[in-house]
Amino acid sequence: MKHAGLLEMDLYLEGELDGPRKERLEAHLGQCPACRDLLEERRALLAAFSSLAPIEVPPAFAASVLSRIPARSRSRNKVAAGILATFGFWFLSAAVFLALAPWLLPDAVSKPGRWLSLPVGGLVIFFGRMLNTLAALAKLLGIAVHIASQWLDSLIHLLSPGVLALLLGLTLLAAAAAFFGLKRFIYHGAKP
Amino acid sequence: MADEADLVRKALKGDRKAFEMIVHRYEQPIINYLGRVLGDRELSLDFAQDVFLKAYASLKSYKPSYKFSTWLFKIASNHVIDHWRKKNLVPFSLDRSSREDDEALLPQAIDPGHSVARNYELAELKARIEQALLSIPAGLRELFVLRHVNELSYEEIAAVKNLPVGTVKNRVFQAKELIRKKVEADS
Repeated sequence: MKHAGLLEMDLYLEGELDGPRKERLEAHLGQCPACRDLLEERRALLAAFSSLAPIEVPPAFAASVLSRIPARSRSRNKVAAGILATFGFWFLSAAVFLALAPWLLPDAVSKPGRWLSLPVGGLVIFFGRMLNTLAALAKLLGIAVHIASQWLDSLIHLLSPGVLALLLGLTLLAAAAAFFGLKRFIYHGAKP
Repeated sequence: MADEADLVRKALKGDRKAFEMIVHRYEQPIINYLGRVLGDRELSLDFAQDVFLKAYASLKSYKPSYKFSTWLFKIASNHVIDHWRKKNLVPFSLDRSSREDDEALLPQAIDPGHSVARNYELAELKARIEQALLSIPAGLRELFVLRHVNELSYEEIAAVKNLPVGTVKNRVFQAKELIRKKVEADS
């Protein structure tokens, strides 16, 4: 008599055997006490395999995992706050400029009649004065750049080419570090 | 109990509470799996953290049409395999022929020494099985753990390991027989 295979017995006990294979095994078990004994042995073994003690999970495990996940929402809030602050700054600057306009643009204020009768002309004057102010600021900036370039020029003449190369390298390094640092700050938490 | 797909959706929107619920739901099975496969509790706790962090980072790639547990075990299994590769551990020869696997399907003669379960009290038997488990090839151990510790179906294990179901059945059987013989030899 051909005995049943152990794998077949295991699959039978696990409910994985069906159809003719299951029927064939059951028929054999009905006639073979040795295979019935073996089946009971396998049943006990499978029960022992499936009853190994679980490994203890520390109570704070989930909290520990969560603590290692970057706070995405907080970072997003930071970026949003940065954008809001930038817009706020420009809005406030524009408001201050408009508030100071009467003093910056005395003509426009001292001749309200002309403003009222010629609103378009008044606006032209207003923007003209604004442009004048901006031109004055640009001129100041130009002077500052000129002074800086003169200072740099004298510095270049003072320093040796080696020192200059070193300074240039350090500047590039600092720029790269600032760029990647900023990038990391912006994407912190946003990219997993 | 909240639906897994719903928890994943919430976690993707930045709901940390939802991801915490996912971790709570799967911490025990994942730590059991890692602990039994690696045989080192501390290492398994570290690895389990890594697995959940990897899962969090890859949540976008999870497709709700798949079972979440299968997806998570796949991440855990890949993590373990990476660890074995780094340590130059070969789970088992992957070119093992299917013929060799099929041999286990053939009817066998009664094994006269087949009385392990009767020879020991259950507690002692479990302790011996735990010891024997660590002595079998790592790849077989992993499949045994997925089946008998985590109680995944053969189909789920096949999905986790990208193996045919028949191969999984045979390898789990081989693992069981190696463990049984080891326990028997020690008695």
